[in-house]
Amino acid sequence: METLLNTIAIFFNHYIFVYAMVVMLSYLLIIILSAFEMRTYLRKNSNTDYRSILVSEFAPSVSIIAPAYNEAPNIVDNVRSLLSLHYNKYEVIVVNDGSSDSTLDELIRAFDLKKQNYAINKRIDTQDVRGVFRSNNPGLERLIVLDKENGGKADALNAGINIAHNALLFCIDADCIIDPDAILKLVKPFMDEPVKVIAAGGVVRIANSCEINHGRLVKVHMPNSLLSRFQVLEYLRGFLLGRMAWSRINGLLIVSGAMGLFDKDIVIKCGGYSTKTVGEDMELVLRMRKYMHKHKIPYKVVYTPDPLCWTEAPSDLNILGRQRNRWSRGCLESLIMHRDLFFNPKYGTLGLISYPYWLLVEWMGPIIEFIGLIVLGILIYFGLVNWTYTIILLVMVYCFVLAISTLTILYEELSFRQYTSGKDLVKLSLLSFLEPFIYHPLILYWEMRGNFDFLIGKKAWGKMNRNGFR
Amino acid sequence: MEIINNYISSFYWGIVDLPKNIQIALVVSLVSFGLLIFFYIFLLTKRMVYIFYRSRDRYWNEQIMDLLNVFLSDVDDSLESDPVSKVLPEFRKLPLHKWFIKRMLYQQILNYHKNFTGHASEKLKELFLQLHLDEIVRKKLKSSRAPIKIKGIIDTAQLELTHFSPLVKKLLHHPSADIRIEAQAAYIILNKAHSFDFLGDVKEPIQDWHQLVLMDLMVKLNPNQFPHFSIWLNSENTSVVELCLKLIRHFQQFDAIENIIHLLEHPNDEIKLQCIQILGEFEAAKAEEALLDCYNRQITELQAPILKALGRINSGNQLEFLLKAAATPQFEIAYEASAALMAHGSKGIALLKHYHHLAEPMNLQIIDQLLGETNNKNHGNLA
Repeated sequence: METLLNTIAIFFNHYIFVYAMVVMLSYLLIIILSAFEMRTYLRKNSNTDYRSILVSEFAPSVSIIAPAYNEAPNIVDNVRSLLSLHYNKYEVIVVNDGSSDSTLDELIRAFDLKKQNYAINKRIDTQDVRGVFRSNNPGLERLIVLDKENGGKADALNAGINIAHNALLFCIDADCIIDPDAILKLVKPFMDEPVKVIAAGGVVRIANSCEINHGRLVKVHMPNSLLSRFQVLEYLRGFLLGRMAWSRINGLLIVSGAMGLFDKDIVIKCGGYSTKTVGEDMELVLRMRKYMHKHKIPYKVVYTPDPLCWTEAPSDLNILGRQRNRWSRGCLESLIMHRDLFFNPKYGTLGLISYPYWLLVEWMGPIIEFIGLIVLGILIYFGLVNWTYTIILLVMVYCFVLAISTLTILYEELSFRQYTSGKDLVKLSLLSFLEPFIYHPLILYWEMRGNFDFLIGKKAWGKMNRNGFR
Repeated sequence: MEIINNYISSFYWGIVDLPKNIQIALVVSLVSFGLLIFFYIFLLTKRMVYIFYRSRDRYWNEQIMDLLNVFLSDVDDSLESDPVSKVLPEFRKLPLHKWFIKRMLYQQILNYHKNFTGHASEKLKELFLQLHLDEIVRKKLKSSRAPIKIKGIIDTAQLELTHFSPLVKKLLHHPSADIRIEAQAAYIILNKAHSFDFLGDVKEPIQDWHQLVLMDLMVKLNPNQFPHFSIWLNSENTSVVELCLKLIRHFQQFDAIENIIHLLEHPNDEIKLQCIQILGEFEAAKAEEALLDCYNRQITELQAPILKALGRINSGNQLEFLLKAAATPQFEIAYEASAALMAHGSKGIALLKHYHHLAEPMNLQIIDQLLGETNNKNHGNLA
């Protein structure tokens, strides 16, 4: 028994240490790449006059698709805010995904909607459409409400795509607060990149405790709840570091489901969102990228670091747990569905860097960490632990994580400075010290639960109750 | 001393004796910790510097804005007199030898200039020149750093500093796309008479964004000075052709129709699409034959716009063709053909109504939607 445990300890000392070093090295590369990308973006756009797009008749037209399921309390405010975005050529398609509450009635009442004869080009198969509603008010000409049988978020988005008239699809969560300039800023890369842009994402931020008025963000505050604050730090790290770096090498695998702008033609040719996974946002981007490679069309998936979308983060442990469980399952489902990408040189950066990173670091990392903790527990139990070495290793990981989190705060300070108060900055800094002890173990647990639920075949989305914006 | 040496020596050998991975872990920890301290110092310094500059700039900005407000009220009051020479001594009293005050004055005049038109805007420019702030623009234009050069070009264009036109001209074909875009936009503003000369020499593609920026400027110019954009329709640079098509469309240069008809055979689908749309918008009846002729050779993405164009041309000669297209099982084609028939008015609607009971479910849905929309519009008009 002791020999076996010693072998395991040696294995962890050597191979897992090498793995940890590779992961840390990849983080360093991500930091460097994101710094370059951020600098390029800020320089390139510091003099941009977005009014040119706003007034131009040659700007691309956009269809906003907002799926709504039981959103009655906020739906009218949210749609009003969508109707007043700063853009000239767009339509708003709200898809009522078989809500069991009064979502549709609220919309009908607020916008004077009438059911209309509507020919739907069913390019993507969806649940049955019950009806299409438009307003009698000429001022609301750009609003279309589609009522359909419940089929989930992906199905609702597909139904919206089927009736979208415009070249670009702006797919959003109906419960998010979208920055008024979001379309302007996301459309630009579609027009100024030398290669075809198939998708563009923007940074999603946490809106908890922020001042919101009629669906518009008025003032940014640090959330009151500790759990939401941890998510602020996590989102900053994920979006400002991670996604910017992947955007730099055109290796992005995910455009957040909360907000993304897509080339409609390519989305339709790829068959729209998959209803077979709970990670439909990541899966669609993977499929679109594969399509472009297959047809040998040069392309790009881009990221905009501007804070363009504000979402309500779960402030309850159970809801956050369900969300992370779903994200884990979604990621794994997408990775398995596209396993042919693994180290496949045919797919360039996608096959050789992005996919292996997601599989070996993003998915496998938590599993290795979890096993490591169990092994550590067993070794402690049998008294086989060299405490000096263990503490040195733990200090290394802690210092490294702290340095990365602090760098993220520095990035935010140097770029968009959304948290203007000094107090908020101190709070963020303190959080980075606590995060590895309080928040990270929870996330690790939920990720493991997600993997376990995947193994037992759980497919449910999980109920996501929100407190709503105040 | 010996004690310290012994301690260092034992510490060194203690580390050397450690396993390799623990040694690496110690190094990583130390580096991370060092970086952590550095990041915090940097963060703190950045915040403090920001707070310092903000409070310092606030005072001087208020001074400058007060002077500018007085100047602008003088401009309003005395259209005849020379308000610039009147206020110049006041502005010169500012400690302009300090670079940050000069920079703030420069920026504030530009900000005010952006928000004013006519006489006030001219006088602000005059003040800017009298204070020799254009020397900052010259330095920016000559800077080796792209972002500063770009800012210089933008400022030149905003104030219409025509004496910098030769400097801007040199940048028209700059290897950096960002500089090129701004230089071409500025050139249009500075050289109103020959603003489009550069189109003949452009080798690099003019991206859609760049075209949009140029269009935004061009639509503000006097169209009487414009050349016939059709002269560049044979350019080998497809982006120049695209831009000229947009200009022809916007400024309704109907005499370009013949050239556009020839472009229907262009290998680039985007150009073909634009040509079809323009011919429809211009209601170019003489293009009808050419559109029909090329219809079967096109992909669906181009066939549908051809049908739309035929609806706009509305000659009444293609009703049978449109009805046949309206009966196809392809949604896009059937929709555009039915809409084109509707655009023909009573004749087209009568044909659609006649076809209504023979139509397949999908085609029937389309006809119902289009007839419904027409009814709604009619009701709306009556209301």
